Amino acid sequence: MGLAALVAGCANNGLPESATAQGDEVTSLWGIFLWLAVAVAALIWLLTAYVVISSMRRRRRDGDDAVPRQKQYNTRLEVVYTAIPLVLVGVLFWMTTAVNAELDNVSDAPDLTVEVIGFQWQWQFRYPTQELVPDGPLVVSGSPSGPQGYPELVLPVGATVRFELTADDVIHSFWVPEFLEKRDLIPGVDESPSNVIEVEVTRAGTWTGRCAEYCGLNHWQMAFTVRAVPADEFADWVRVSQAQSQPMVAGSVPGTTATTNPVSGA
Amino acid sequence: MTTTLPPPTDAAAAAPEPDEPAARHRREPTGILKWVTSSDHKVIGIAYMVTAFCFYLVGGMMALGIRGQLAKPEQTMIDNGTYNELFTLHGTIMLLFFLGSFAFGVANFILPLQIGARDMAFPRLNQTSYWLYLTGGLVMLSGLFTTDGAADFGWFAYTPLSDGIRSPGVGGDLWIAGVALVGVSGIMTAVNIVATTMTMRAPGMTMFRMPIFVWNMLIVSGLVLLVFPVLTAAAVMLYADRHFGGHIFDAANGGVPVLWQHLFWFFGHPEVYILILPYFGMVTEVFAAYSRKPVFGYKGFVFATVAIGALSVGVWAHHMYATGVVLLPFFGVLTMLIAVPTGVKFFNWIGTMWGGNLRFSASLLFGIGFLLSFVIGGVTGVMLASPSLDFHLTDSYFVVAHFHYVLYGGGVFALFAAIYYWYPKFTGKALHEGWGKLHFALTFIGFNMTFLVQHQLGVDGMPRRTASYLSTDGFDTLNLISSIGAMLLGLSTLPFLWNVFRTWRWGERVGRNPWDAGTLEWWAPSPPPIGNFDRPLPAITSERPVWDAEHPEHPAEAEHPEREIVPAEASP
Repeated sequence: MGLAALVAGCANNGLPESATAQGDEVTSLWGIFLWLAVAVAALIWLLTAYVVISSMRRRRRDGDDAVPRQKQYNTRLEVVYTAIPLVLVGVLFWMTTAVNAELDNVSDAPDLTVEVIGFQWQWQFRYPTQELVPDGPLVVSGSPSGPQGYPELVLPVGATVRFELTADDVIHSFWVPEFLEKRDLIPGVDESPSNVIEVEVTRAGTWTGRCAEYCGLNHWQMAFTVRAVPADEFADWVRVSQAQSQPMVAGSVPGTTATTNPVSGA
Repeated sequence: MTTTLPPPTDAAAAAPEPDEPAARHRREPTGILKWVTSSDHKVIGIAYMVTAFCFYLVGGMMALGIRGQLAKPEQTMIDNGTYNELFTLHGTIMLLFFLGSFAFGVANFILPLQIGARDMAFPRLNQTSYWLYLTGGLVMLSGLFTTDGAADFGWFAYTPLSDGIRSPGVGGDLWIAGVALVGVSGIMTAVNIVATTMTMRAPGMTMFRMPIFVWNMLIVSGLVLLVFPVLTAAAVMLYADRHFGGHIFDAANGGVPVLWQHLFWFFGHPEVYILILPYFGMVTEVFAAYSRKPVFGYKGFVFATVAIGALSVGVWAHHMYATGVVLLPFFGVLTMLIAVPTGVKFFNWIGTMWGGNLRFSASLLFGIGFLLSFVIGGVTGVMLASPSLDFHLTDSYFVVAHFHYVLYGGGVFALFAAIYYWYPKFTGKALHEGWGKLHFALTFIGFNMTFLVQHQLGVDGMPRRTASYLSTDGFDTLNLISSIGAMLLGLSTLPFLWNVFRTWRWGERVGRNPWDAGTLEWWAPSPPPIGNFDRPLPAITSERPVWDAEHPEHPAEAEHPEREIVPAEASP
């Protein structure tokens, strides 16, 4: 089990296994940045080790009071060690800009739109086209709750899903580690939702998403479950949920009418 | 006093100065009265350092509480509210009341000596600055004794969480008052350092003969003057929102919450360089002294520091990529560019030691520990500069690991290197090397054990500022390793405190220049008297006049000797 996780981790250079097409792009970019970072750190460690060892040897030979050469400048070397990092940074920036365009790309007509609403300290996921607000626990009392207490975000595999991120109380951040990206939910940004991202889910699975922006007392318990299922199973889930849940009321955002903050609400 | 003379003969050294302190009739107070009333830059410098170190111990205890709580999943040792207060105060103390303030303490003591001055330019302003700083820290901490507890909205106090509705407690107001006070104090010290450096250098000490530490403090002070007023103003705006219905950051009434982030990080990012650049300066002096060599690429180093300072005011929004309201390529490229001058410094440091006759004192060990640790904070910084990667990494434990590698691996390692290096100048006694080496070994192991694994925790999906986590999250093993490392890191302070105590009681006196270093502070007695120098300064023809005076046969080599103008009488 542990070994399997280690092997899987190495395959993605330590990242969680990506579950979206966008996440795949991030995974490739991460590999380049990571190994370049390791190489640079290793270079500094090796140079330092060389300096230390060679100096110990020299000190044994020449004695403690020996005065070494008082060399201070080597312009050619200085130009080289300024220019090489400059080129590396240019290449890294060029690569990151390409991936960025992918991550910020928003299509004209996504297959599915989900309104993600964050409030202290819970999530609500609404499916406006399906006129669906699945039932779920809406209040966290502050006692440790397990994944069984989390609200659920159900997504179809293979579809382009748009997340419209909205908050009305404080800033939250929508993060599913397997998507390898997050964005903030900010109250009071000119247009609502404050952020829109799109992902294409590439594999089925169940993962935990979390609020990543510190949002007050029970921030750490503000989590949710993501369940990615095949498209037909998703259609079934929509049908069953529509039959069970309340009809969606436009404009009612939880967290605006009643506070769930046990401190300020008390 | 600061008349430049040729390298002195014995007779010159023995000749008393006309206005030598002993000749003055005023009697200096001693004991507590001295610490409260003295405007001597050395007394204020030590007061700054001791106070800042006390804040370090307080902030460190808070960190141990945080790591204790996170050692195991679902612990209830510390409740959510207290935990939130702990990390808020830990961050604020370490960033605003410890690391930068300690650097100001070192600068107060060392900078006038290094430029051959008798004191800072404005001694009374210096005193005022210290008392504002101490008051600010105590005011902020006093929130702990209020009914609702201290501030708990994180050290960057994002609105709307920090507004009067979401954080109504008086602890938040005390936090704002503390931040405003330390902001004003920092501005005063920066004014003082700029004035001192620009007007009080000894004759012969041109800008390019200033020690690197002086250069770095000058640039840091410029940054402080640019960004601390923004912090203080933002703090006042937040206070107005909380109490006077300011609605500046209040979305419900047309305010803009993200404005706070812009103002805060316009201060907050340069603040990182305000914290780290002084330590770059200190560790540079350490490398040069214990290698018995001049700083390699001195001018390149100065230009790199200027470049870092200039770039640092244009990168604040890299803290805000995930808000979706910033121009990603602009802030991405400027942030990545900072890696270039920082890389230059690494080569300067290694080049300084290259071919040197290294004396492996506790101070140099901390310097080497600084190189090995800080490089990790540097390379992860480049990863975070990429918006594409930052969308995954930001607000996770990866960021926590990154900035501790910068501020502890970079800042605190260099801080201890500086303490061991300058302790003889501060007190006249050298710290014990054996205890110092034990201190280093424990610190290095504890630090890396605490923070290296946090990179992986963040990548795996653990957000920062979480008061706990579930046993099903899969974060337990790495958190336990991190917490054990933190306890070790906490313990590593004990040999240091013991070392300071035993040196105070039984330490051996050392002379003016125990390390055979080159800058002017080593020309003065240890510790220097009021007025600093008891003999004429040596001729200042380079950035290490004391080396030139004591080793006239070993000047720095010219890169192109054939291009140098050789004085007629010196030519063969």
